Amino acid sequence: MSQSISLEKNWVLFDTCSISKISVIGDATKILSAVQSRIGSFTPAITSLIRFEYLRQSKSKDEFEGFRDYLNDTYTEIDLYSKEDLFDIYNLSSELACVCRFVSSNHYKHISMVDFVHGGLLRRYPRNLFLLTFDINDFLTPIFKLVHHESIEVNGKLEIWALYSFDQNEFHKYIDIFKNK
Amino acid sequence: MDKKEKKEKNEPAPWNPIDIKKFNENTRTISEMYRSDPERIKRAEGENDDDKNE
Repeated sequence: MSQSISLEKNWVLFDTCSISKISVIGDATKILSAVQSRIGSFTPAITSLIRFEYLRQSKSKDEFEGFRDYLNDTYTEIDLYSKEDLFDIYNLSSELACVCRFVSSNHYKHISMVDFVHGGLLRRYPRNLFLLTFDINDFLTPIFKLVHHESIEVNGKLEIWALYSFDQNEFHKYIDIFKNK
Repeated sequence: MDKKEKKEKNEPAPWNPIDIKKFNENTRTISEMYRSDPERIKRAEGENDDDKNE
Protein backbone atom coordinates (compact mmCIF):
# COMPACT_ATOMS: atom_id res chain seq x y z
CA MET A 1 0.00 0.00 0.00
CA SER A 2 1.43 3.41 -0.93
CA GLN A 3 2.40 6.13 1.47
CA SER A 4 0.45 9.37 1.15
CA ILE A 5 1.97 11.76 -1.35
CA SER A 6 2.23 15.51 -1.07
CA LEU A 7 1.40 17.62 -4.11
CA GLU A 8 3.30 20.88 -4.33
CA LYS A 9 0.21 23.07 -4.43
CA ASN A 10 -3.50 22.89 -3.73
CA TRP A 11 -5.95 21.17 -6.08
CA VAL A 12 -9.73 21.07 -5.72
CA LEU A 13 -11.58 18.20 -7.33
CA PHE A 14 -15.07 19.22 -8.45
CA ASP A 15 -17.35 16.17 -8.49
CA THR A 16 -19.97 15.69 -11.21
CA CYS A 17 -22.76 16.99 -9.02
CA SER A 18 -20.91 20.20 -8.17
CA ILE A 19 -20.09 20.85 -11.85
CA SER A 20 -23.75 20.37 -12.77
CA LYS A 21 -25.03 22.62 -9.98
CA ILE A 22 -22.45 25.32 -10.76
CA SER A 23 -23.48 25.08 -14.43
CA VAL A 24 -27.06 25.78 -13.39
CA ILE A 25 -26.12 28.62 -11.00
CA GLY A 26 -23.99 30.28 -13.68
CA ASP A 27 -21.86 32.32 -11.29
CA ALA A 28 -19.46 30.50 -9.00
CA THR A 29 -17.89 33.59 -7.42
CA LYS A 30 -19.29 32.94 -3.92
CA ILE A 31 -18.14 29.32 -3.92
CA LEU A 32 -14.71 29.93 -5.43
CA SER A 33 -13.98 32.92 -3.19
CA ALA A 34 -14.97 30.95 -0.08
CA VAL A 35 -12.70 28.05 -1.10
CA GLN A 36 -9.85 30.43 -1.90
CA SER A 37 -10.17 32.17 1.46
CA ARG A 38 -10.02 28.78 3.26
CA ILE A 39 -7.13 27.08 1.43
CA GLY A 40 -5.48 29.78 -0.70
CA SER A 41 -4.98 29.51 -4.43
CA PHE A 42 -5.91 26.24 -6.12
CA THR A 43 -6.43 24.58 -9.48
CA PRO A 44 -9.98 23.42 -10.28
CA ALA A 45 -9.68 19.76 -11.26
CA ILE A 46 -11.63 16.77 -12.49
CA THR A 47 -10.83 13.12 -13.19
CA SER A 48 -11.67 11.07 -16.26
CA LEU A 49 -14.48 9.45 -14.23
CA ILE A 50 -16.02 12.87 -13.57
CA ARG A 51 -15.62 13.73 -17.27
CA PHE A 52 -17.47 10.51 -18.16
CA GLU A 53 -20.30 11.16 -15.68
CA TYR A 54 -20.77 14.76 -16.81
CA LEU A 55 -20.63 14.03 -20.54
CA ARG A 56 -23.07 11.17 -20.32
CA GLN A 57 -25.84 13.68 -19.55
CA SER A 58 -25.57 14.74 -23.21
CA LYS A 59 -28.61 14.04 -25.32
CA SER A 60 -27.22 15.38 -28.60
CA LYS A 61 -23.93 15.96 -30.39
CA ASP A 62 -24.20 19.73 -29.77
CA GLU A 63 -24.74 19.21 -26.06
CA PHE A 64 -21.86 16.76 -25.90
CA GLU A 65 -19.54 19.24 -27.60
CA GLY A 66 -20.73 22.13 -25.41
CA PHE A 67 -20.19 20.13 -22.21
CA ARG A 68 -16.83 18.82 -23.41
CA ASP A 69 -15.53 22.29 -24.33
CA TYR A 70 -16.70 23.66 -20.98
CA LEU A 71 -14.78 20.96 -19.08
CA ASN A 72 -11.67 21.43 -21.21
CA ASP A 73 -11.68 25.22 -20.80
CA THR A 74 -12.45 25.29 -17.10
CA TYR A 75 -10.94 22.28 -15.30
CA THR A 76 -7.58 20.51 -15.33
CA GLU A 77 -7.83 16.75 -15.56
CA ILE A 78 -5.91 14.91 -12.85
CA ASP A 79 -5.42 11.53 -14.31
CA LEU A 80 -3.84 8.29 -13.35
CA TYR A 81 -1.10 7.79 -15.87
CA SER A 82 0.24 4.36 -15.11
CA LYS A 83 -1.02 0.92 -14.21
CA GLU A 84 0.73 1.30 -10.83
CA ASP A 85 -1.21 4.52 -10.13
CA LEU A 86 -4.50 2.85 -10.93
CA PHE A 87 -3.70 -0.22 -8.88
CA ASP A 88 -2.64 1.97 -5.97
CA ILE A 89 -5.80 4.10 -6.04
CA TYR A 90 -8.04 1.03 -6.29
CA ASN A 91 -6.28 -0.49 -3.28
CA LEU A 92 -6.69 2.71 -1.29
CA SER A 93 -10.34 2.94 -2.37
CA SER A 94 -11.19 -0.67 -1.48
CA GLU A 95 -9.77 -0.35 2.00
CA LEU A 96 -11.59 2.97 2.38
CA ALA A 97 -14.87 1.33 1.32
CA CYS A 98 -14.45 -1.37 4.00
CA VAL A 99 -13.82 1.24 6.68
CA CYS A 100 -16.78 3.39 5.50
CA ARG A 101 -19.02 0.33 5.70
CA PHE A 102 -17.75 -0.28 9.22
CA VAL A 103 -18.31 3.38 10.24
CA SER A 104 -21.82 3.70 8.80
CA SER A 105 -23.43 0.76 7.02
CA ASN A 106 -26.54 2.84 6.27
CA HIS A 107 -24.69 5.59 4.46
CA TYR A 108 -22.35 3.14 2.81
CA LYS A 109 -25.14 1.68 0.66
CA HIS A 110 -25.64 5.00 -1.11
CA ILE A 111 -22.00 5.70 -1.94
CA SER A 112 -21.03 4.92 -5.53
CA MET A 113 -17.84 3.28 -6.72
CA VAL A 114 -16.80 6.60 -8.32
CA ASP A 115 -17.05 8.34 -4.93
CA PHE A 116 -14.84 5.68 -3.36
CA VAL A 117 -12.24 6.09 -6.10
CA HIS A 118 -12.24 9.84 -5.46
CA GLY A 119 -12.02 9.09 -1.73
CA GLY A 120 -8.98 6.95 -2.54
CA LEU A 121 -7.44 9.88 -4.42
CA LEU A 122 -8.06 12.21 -1.45
CA ARG A 123 -6.44 9.57 0.74
CA ARG A 124 -3.39 9.49 -1.50
CA TYR A 125 -2.94 13.28 -1.41
CA PRO A 126 -4.28 14.22 2.04
CA ARG A 127 -2.49 17.55 2.35
CA ASN A 128 -3.16 19.24 -0.96
CA LEU A 129 -6.16 17.61 -2.61
CA PHE A 130 -9.66 18.73 -1.65
CA LEU A 131 -13.06 17.72 -2.95
CA LEU A 132 -15.98 20.07 -3.58
CA THR A 133 -19.40 18.43 -3.61
CA PHE A 134 -23.10 19.07 -3.16
CA ASP A 135 -23.62 15.37 -2.28
CA ILE A 136 -22.68 15.87 1.33
CA ASN A 137 -23.66 12.35 2.45
CA ASP A 138 -21.14 10.67 0.16
CA PHE A 139 -18.07 11.64 2.17
CA LEU A 140 -18.40 10.38 5.71
CA THR A 141 -17.10 12.49 8.51
CA PRO A 142 -14.91 11.95 10.49
CA ILE A 143 -12.92 10.02 7.83
CA PHE A 144 -13.23 13.05 5.59
CA LYS A 145 -12.52 16.38 7.22
CA LEU A 146 -15.18 18.99 6.56
CA VAL A 147 -12.98 21.96 5.67
CA HIS A 148 -15.83 24.32 4.82
CA HIS A 149 -19.52 24.31 4.00
CA GLU A 150 -22.05 26.91 2.94
CA SER A 151 -25.55 27.13 1.57
CA ILE A 152 -26.32 28.52 -1.88
CA GLU A 153 -29.44 28.97 -3.99
CA VAL A 154 -29.63 26.61 -6.98
CA ASN A 155 -32.57 27.20 -9.29
CA GLY A 156 -34.71 28.60 -6.45
CA LYS A 157 -33.78 25.92 -3.91
CA LEU A 158 -31.36 26.29 -1.02
CA GLU A 159 -28.60 23.67 -1.20
CA ILE A 160 -25.41 22.98 0.74
CA TRP A 161 -22.00 22.55 -0.80
CA ALA A 162 -19.00 21.30 1.14
CA LEU A 163 -15.24 21.13 0.82
CA TYR A 164 -13.56 17.99 2.17
CA SER A 165 -10.06 16.66 2.66
CA PHE A 166 -8.93 13.29 3.95
CA ASP A 167 -8.33 12.94 7.67
CA GLN A 168 -5.45 10.49 8.03
CA ASN A 169 -5.50 10.47 11.84
CA GLU A 170 -9.19 9.61 12.07
CA PHE A 171 -8.87 7.02 9.33
CA HIS A 172 -6.01 5.29 11.14
CA LYS A 173 -8.08 5.13 14.32
CA TYR A 174 -10.90 3.41 12.45
CA ILE A 175 -8.68 1.08 10.49
CA ASP A 176 -7.04 -0.11 13.70
CA ILE A 177 -10.45 -0.94 15.15
CA PHE A 178 -11.53 -2.52 11.84
CA LYS A 179 -8.43 -4.71 11.58
CA ASN A 180 -8.74 -5.92 15.17
CA LYS A 181 -12.40 -6.77 14.83
CA MET B 1 5.20 13.09 -27.56
CA ASP B 2 2.42 10.61 -28.20
CA LYS B 3 -0.21 9.75 -25.61
CA LYS B 4 1.32 6.40 -24.70
CA GLU B 5 4.76 7.89 -24.12
CA LYS B 6 3.24 10.65 -21.95
CA LYS B 7 1.40 8.10 -19.82
CA GLU B 8 4.53 6.04 -19.29
CA LYS B 9 6.44 9.13 -18.15
CA ASN B 10 3.78 9.67 -15.48
CA GLU B 11 3.75 13.43 -15.99
CA PRO B 12 1.67 15.39 -13.53
CA ALA B 13 -1.02 17.71 -14.85
CA PRO B 14 0.05 21.39 -14.84
CA TRP B 15 -0.95 23.46 -11.83
CA ASN B 16 -2.72 26.69 -12.80
CA PRO B 17 -4.06 29.05 -10.14
CA ILE B 18 -7.80 29.60 -10.40
CA ASP B 19 -8.86 32.59 -12.45
CA ILE B 20 -12.34 33.30 -11.07
CA LYS B 21 -13.21 35.72 -13.87
CA LYS B 22 -12.35 33.22 -16.61
CA PHE B 23 -14.04 30.38 -14.71
CA ASN B 24 -17.24 32.43 -14.52
CA GLU B 25 -17.10 33.46 -18.17
CA ASN B 26 -16.95 29.77 -19.15
CA THR B 27 -19.66 28.89 -16.66
CA ARG B 28 -21.99 31.63 -17.89
CA THR B 29 -21.84 30.16 -21.40
CA ILE B 30 -22.73 26.67 -20.21
CA SER B 31 -25.36 28.10 -17.87
CA GLU B 32 -27.13 29.73 -20.84
CA MET B 33 -27.18 26.31 -22.48
CA TYR B 34 -28.80 24.82 -19.37
CA ARG B 35 -31.32 27.61 -19.02
CA SER B 36 -32.39 27.27 -22.66
CA ASP B 37 -33.79 23.83 -21.84
CA PRO B 38 -35.47 23.11 -18.47
CA GLU B 39 -35.00 19.39 -19.19
CA ARG B 40 -31.24 19.92 -18.93
CA ILE B 41 -31.64 21.54 -15.52
CA LYS B 42 -33.71 18.56 -14.36
CA ARG B 43 -31.01 16.21 -15.59
CA ALA B 44 -28.34 18.26 -13.82
CA GLU B 45 -30.30 18.22 -10.59
CA GLY B 46 -30.93 14.50 -10.76
CA GLU B 47 -27.36 13.78 -11.74
CA ASN B 48 -25.82 10.75 -9.94
CA ASP B 49 -29.23 9.52 -8.80
CA ASP B 50 -29.31 7.15 -11.76
CA ASP B 51 -25.99 5.65 -10.72
CA LYS B 52 -27.23 5.02 -7.23
CA ASN B 53 -30.45 3.42 -8.38
CA GLU B 54 -28.72 1.12 -10.83
